[in-house]
Amino acid sequence: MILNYTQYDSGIIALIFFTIIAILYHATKTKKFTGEKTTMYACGETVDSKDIDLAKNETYNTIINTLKLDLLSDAHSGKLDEYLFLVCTAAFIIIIILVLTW
Amino acid sequence: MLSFFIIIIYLATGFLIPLIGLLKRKNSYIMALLASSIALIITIIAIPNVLFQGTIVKYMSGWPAPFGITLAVDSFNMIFISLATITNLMIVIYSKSRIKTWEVEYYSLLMLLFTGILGILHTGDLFNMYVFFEIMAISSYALVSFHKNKNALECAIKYLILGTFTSSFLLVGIALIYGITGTLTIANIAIIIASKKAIAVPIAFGLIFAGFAFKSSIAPFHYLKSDISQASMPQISAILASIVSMTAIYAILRLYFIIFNQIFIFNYILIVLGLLSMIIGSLMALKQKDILRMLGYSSIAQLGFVVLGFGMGAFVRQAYNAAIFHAINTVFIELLLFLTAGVLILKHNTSSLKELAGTGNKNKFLSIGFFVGAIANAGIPLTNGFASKWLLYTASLQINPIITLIAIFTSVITLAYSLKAYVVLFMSNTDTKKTILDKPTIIIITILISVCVALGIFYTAGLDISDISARSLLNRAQYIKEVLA
Repeated sequence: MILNYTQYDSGIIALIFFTIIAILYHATKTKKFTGEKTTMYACGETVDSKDIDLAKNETYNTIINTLKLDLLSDAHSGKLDEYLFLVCTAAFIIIIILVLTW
Repeated sequence: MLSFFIIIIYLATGFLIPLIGLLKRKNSYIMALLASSIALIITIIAIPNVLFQGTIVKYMSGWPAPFGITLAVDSFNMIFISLATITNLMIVIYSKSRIKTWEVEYYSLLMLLFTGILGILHTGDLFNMYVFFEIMAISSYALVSFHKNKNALECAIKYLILGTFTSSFLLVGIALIYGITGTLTIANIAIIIASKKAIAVPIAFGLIFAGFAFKSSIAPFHYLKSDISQASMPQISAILASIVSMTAIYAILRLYFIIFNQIFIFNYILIVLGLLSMIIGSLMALKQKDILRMLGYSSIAQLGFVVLGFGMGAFVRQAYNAAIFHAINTVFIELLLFLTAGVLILKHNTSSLKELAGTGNKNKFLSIGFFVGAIANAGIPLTNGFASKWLLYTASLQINPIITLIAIFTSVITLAYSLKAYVVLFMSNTDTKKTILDKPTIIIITILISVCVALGIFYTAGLDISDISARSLLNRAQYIKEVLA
C-alpha cells in the first residue's frame, strides 16, 4: 500500500534531516565572517559582493526567461476590464463543460 | 448547539464596538479581544459535542426545515469553524500594537468579516449562505482599503467591482436552484434535485462555483489576489489568503457533495484547476519583487494543492484526508508567513524586497518564524507542509505520475522563492536597528511555529482529525437525514 506512511518512516526522515543539519553546522561553525571580504571568487570571475543582490530579480532570471514567465505576467496586468473578461470567460468555459457532460 | 452563538457574539460585537467606541476608542480592542476569546472557548467546548453526536442542527425561531433557516454543524465544518475562531483571536491580538487610529472601524469590520465567515460555515440554507457571503465580502472590501493609501483604495474599488460582479453569478445560480426545486434548504434541495434532469442544474452549479471560486482565488479566478495582498495590511492579507479562501472552498465542497454530487466531471475540473493554481501561483511568486505579492501568489499555489486533493479524492479516498489536512496546514503556514513578514513591512512601511533587504537580520526570533513558514510552505520534512504534501504526492501517484511531477516541481519552485525571500529579509547586511517585538506578537508567532512543527512531527493526529472530517463530508445521507429530521 503506497499510502502506508508510518511514524517509523517519519523517524528515519527526521534522523537523516538532523544528521545533515548537524554535519553542515559542524563543518561551518569554525568559519567566522570578518566583514572585510568585499569581493567574491565565482568561477574565474571576481565579483564585487555589492553586485550580488538577491533582492534583484536577476536571481532566477534564467528560469524566468526559459519558462517565458513574462507572458504569464502580461495576463496579470492589473486592468479591471481584462480581469472581468478573463473571469467571465473562465466561468463560461466551466459552465459549458458542465452542461456538455450533463 | 453552542457553536451557533459564535455568530451572534461576532455580529453583536461588530455593532456594539462603534457604540462603546464613542466613549473610549481603545475599548474597541478590549471588546474584540473578549468576543474572540469567548468564541474560541465556545468552539473548544463544542468540538466534543460534534465529534460524539454527529451533525448538530438548530432551527431558527423554531421553524423546522425546510420552512425556516437551518444551521447545521458536523465534523467537516467544525474543522473550519475552529480554524476561523483561532485566526480571529490571533489577528485581534496581532493588531493591538499596529492599529493606532480608526480602531473602532477596524475592529468592527473585523468582527463583521468573521460573522460572514462563521455564518457561511454554519448555515444549511442556500440563500442564508449568500447573505453571509455578502457580509464577508463587503467587510473584506472595506478592510482592504484600510491601509489608507492610493494603492489600497484603488485595489479595494477593483475588488468591490469584481467581487460584486462575481457574487451576482452566485445569486443567479441560487435563483435557478430555487426555480427548479422551490426550496432553499440545502438538504431539501439535495432530495428534490436528485430526480430532476433539468439543464439548469449544471448551469446553476457553474454559476455558484464561479462566485465562490473568485473569493477563494482558485486559478483562473485569482487575478486580484496578488494585488489585494500587496495593497492591504499584512494581517488582512493573511486572513484573505487563509481562512477566507478556505471558507469559499468549504462552501463549494459542501454544496457539491450534498446537492450536485451526480456531476462527476467536476472532480476532473477540480484537478485541472488545482494544477493550474499550483503552476501559476508558484511561477508568478518566483518573479515577484514585493514580499506581499510573493506571498499572495504563494497562497494561490497552496490552495491549488488543496483543490487538487479534493479532485483526486473521487479516485483515491485518502486524497480527501490529505486535502483537508493541507487546508488546515495552509491556514497556519499563511498566517505565520504573513504575520512575521508583516512585522517588518509595517515597521518600515514598505513591502518591496529591495527596500526590506536585511531589515530582519538582527532579529533571530522573526528569522526563525519566517524560516519555519518558508520550509513548511515548500513541504520540507519535520513541518506540517511536508506531511500533507507527501500524502498528496502518494495519492497522485496512484492516479497519474504526471500530477506528482507537477506537484513536486511546484514545491521546488516554492522552496526557491521562499528561501530567496528569507535570504533577502534576514541574511542581507544593512545597518537597520533591531526590530523590537511586543509580547503578544511573540506569543502568536511562537504558537504558529509550534503548530507548524508539531503537526509535522505528530502528523497522525492531524490525519485522524482530517479522516473524521472527510467521513462527514462524504456522508451525504446522514447530513440530509439529520437536517430534515
